[in-house]
Amino acid sequence: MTTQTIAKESLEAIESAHSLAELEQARIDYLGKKGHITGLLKNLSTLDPAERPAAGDEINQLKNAFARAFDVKKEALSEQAQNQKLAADAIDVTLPGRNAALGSLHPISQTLRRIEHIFELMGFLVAEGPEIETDYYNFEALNVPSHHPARAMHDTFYLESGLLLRTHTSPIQIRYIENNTPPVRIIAPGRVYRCDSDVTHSPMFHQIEGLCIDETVSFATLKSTIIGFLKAFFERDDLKVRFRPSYFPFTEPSAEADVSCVQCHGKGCRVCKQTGWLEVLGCGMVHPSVLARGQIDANRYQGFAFGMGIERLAMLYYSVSDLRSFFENDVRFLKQFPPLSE
Amino acid sequence: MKISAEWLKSLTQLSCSPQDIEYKFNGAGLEVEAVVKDADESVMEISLTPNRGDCLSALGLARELSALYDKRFEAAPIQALPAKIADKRNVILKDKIACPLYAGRVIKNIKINQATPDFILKRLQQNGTRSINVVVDITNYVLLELGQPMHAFDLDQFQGDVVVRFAEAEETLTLLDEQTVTLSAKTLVIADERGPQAIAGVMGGLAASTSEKTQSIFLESAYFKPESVAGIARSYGLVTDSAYRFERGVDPALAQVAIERASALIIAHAGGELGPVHVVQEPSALPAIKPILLTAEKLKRLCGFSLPIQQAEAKLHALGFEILERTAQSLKVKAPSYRFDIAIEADLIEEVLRLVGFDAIPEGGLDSGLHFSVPKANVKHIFARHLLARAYSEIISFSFIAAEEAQSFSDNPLLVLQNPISPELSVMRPALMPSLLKMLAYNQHRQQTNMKLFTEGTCFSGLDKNIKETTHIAAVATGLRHAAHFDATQSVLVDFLDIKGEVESILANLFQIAQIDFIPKQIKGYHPNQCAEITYENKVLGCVGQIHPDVLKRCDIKNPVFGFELDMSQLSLKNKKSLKPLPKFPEVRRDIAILVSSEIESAALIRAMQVTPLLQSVQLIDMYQGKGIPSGQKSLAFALHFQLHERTLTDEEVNAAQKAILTLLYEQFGATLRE
Repeated sequence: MTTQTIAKESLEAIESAHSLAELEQARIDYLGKKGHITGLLKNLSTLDPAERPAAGDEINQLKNAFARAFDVKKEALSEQAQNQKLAADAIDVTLPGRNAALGSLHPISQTLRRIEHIFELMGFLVAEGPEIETDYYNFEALNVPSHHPARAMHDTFYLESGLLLRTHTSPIQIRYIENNTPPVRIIAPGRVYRCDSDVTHSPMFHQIEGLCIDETVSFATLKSTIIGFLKAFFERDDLKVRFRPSYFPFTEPSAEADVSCVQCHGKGCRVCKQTGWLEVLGCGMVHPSVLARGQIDANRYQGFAFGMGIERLAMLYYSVSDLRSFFENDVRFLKQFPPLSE
Repeated sequence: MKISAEWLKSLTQLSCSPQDIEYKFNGAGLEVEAVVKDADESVMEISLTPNRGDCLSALGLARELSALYDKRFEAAPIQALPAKIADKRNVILKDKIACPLYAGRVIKNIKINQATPDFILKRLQQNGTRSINVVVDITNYVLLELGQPMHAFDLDQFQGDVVVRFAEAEETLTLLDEQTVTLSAKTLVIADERGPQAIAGVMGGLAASTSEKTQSIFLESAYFKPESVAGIARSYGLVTDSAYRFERGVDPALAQVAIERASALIIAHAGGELGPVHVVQEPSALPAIKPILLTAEKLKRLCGFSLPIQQAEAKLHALGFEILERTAQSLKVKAPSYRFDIAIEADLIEEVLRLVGFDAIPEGGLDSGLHFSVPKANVKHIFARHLLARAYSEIISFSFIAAEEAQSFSDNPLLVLQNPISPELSVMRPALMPSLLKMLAYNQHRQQTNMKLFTEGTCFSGLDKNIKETTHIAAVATGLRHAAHFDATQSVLVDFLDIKGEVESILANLFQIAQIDFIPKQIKGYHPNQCAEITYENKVLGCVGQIHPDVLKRCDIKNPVFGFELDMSQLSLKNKKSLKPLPKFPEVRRDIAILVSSEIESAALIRAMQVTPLLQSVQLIDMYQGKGIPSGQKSLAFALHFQLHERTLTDEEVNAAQKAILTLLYEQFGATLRE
């Protein structure tokens, strides 16, 4: 065959290849050991030396043209093969994935953690205490002697030994100051018990107690701490907070804090019983006789304490209208609380 | 108490609306819970804190209202009418601490069937007090008006001296409400010759009470100490206006004023002849009001802002306090007799702040940073984080459960409540598992079959005063391992290894416990052959297993349940540890399959393999019993990973190590290499 014929046929062979295998065969046919183009090169030595350079040039051009055509075709065929494979891989991406489930953290736990977190940012530490208490820590040490009318407000569960289930988290105040020295900055979350059970009372519920004792802690500090906390908790800078005088045997002066209704923003609705305000916590300046329980010099140190019901705050924050739903633990209720406060 | 705003207005002569009064009271700590229209008056329901017994009357509230308008209230003087007759009864105070003052008088020849005047009926009805007869209505009116509880005995039914004493053993009394009670020894009574005729400060007896036949009365106006009345009414299931006031404290100076007021009203509206007021008292047992010093410095420190001491003086004066001494920097004051709740300087500051208004207090920032502490990692949160990622939902349930629920999981003596809400909530839980099962059952009845739940909380053990509280965490799984899925390999029921895997993952990965032992053990409440006690470093952490079918049956749970319960107090987070350098030389993996008796525990084999330091880790990669394996035996395949930190291992070294392992397995367990 002539060089011209080989040039023409070799390019046709590449063009007509339909697969990478056919293309490879064409390469072998022309550039393999016994290929036609290889044969032309081998044949060069038999030519007249004067003709060799021109013939060599011609064959090299032919070889380069073949190689270029081969590369172009190979890329086209590879892409085609890849496309076929990808087409064969097609799946229904709308099928459900595996193990997509996530657990849920109880709204009371989430509320506790949010509160703990806010106070931790203010430098408070979490303290704990026993749930079965003595009369001393639950009442006496907090200025509630046995004849005190405030006892009537704490329907107390008693064990046969005379020990009791703590009716509030306030005993932790006493236990903490007995074992620590000022400055004190703690919050004490926990379960508390009162023997009262109806639509709006649960025999077990949760409280958080706070205690802050230092040389410069005043009623003004108490106010700013509580206002700061409530704004952070309800995630509203425009939240209005009101303090009303109240009475707790272990604080003096004592106050109750109300917030503008988080549902109607003060206009009046069912949640706030048309008052525009929601009572959320009790607080006050630590009574000197409580400081004395921790051998704290009341002339040098002052403190404030506060306590709040977690269920109440959780109900307001999550718009839960029935207290009992927290303890029924219906999973359809629980699943509505993904662990965002973790 | 319920009281008409108009009544307060007329007493104080202030020009204020019911809304003004409501606003003022709420701001001063006297909570107006509701205002109800009664004809042309507004009746306020006021909720008072236990320290404000002095406000349980029109007089008390008028004093408070005046002070809120910066005006000191001056009560209209009450005139004492002269005695017409000399009749009297002897009063004998057997316990002058419990009853330090008793005033009484005889009134004869009254007309008990006269109609009670309308102005009294109106006030009683506004407070929700039932009308009885003109005498009782008048005593009840004086209680509302002045705050002094009183009692009228039928003189002819009251035999001999008036004796105030504690009840004696086995004494009984039929009360006005016709119930007969056996009196406890701590009950203070008013007795005549025959026995108790009234529970002091709580309720009168039926026998000596006034009736339509009553002609003469003995009127009582006494001061009973709060301690001697506290809890007494409750102990007999009684709630009375009188007990409510005496428990909170009545002004000791009021008894003699009130008896004159009531006498005058009785004479005016029921006629009669007055005997002399006979007062028996022990002044040393009456509450003493001590002067209190208020300094400008403390006022400023406690409030956190400057409040002029002159302003404090004005407020205290308006509240009826007596200013004994004043300097530029301090005041010495004495509280009025009705403010027995005022004892210390902080009490005075509260009074001043109450009247100034808490809104006037500026906010002062909490000085932070100087003694700021880093919160410790919380073991509870670490467990929760893991379980949440593994699709467990947290439940919270009561700490008290039914006795039989507790006994399903514990043989220890029960910690029983004296006064439970119900038998189902009467025992402090020794374990969390009963609570979880209860919630599984609750949800199963609501068509939930695939559930993973966890909870944490205090568990209780011990006896009497030696009670131990430990914080547990527990989880249960039942139904499908994962949510139902079209891929059949996913739709597998949970089993023991699923729940065990959760424990292993938490303890090994999060708490970095290198060696955890799962010891087969029969534990109450769990399947006898699918349960392990979990221990490490000789500490028992808890257990993991299938819940016993009998327990599930009692709980009415249909599907198998697997769970674990751990005592978190046994766990603490390891301190931050330094990074171990990564290995520089390759590891060699050798897989071996052995035949061994079915009873041999896999963990025992893996423990035994640790004979050579070359072995870095072992994994069980296959387990097979059945066709091709002799009965009573099992085939176990392990992947052995060999590695040295300082150099590449040679084949000979690995061969020798592997051989050592196999020899040991053969010698200790009769294990043979499976070809």
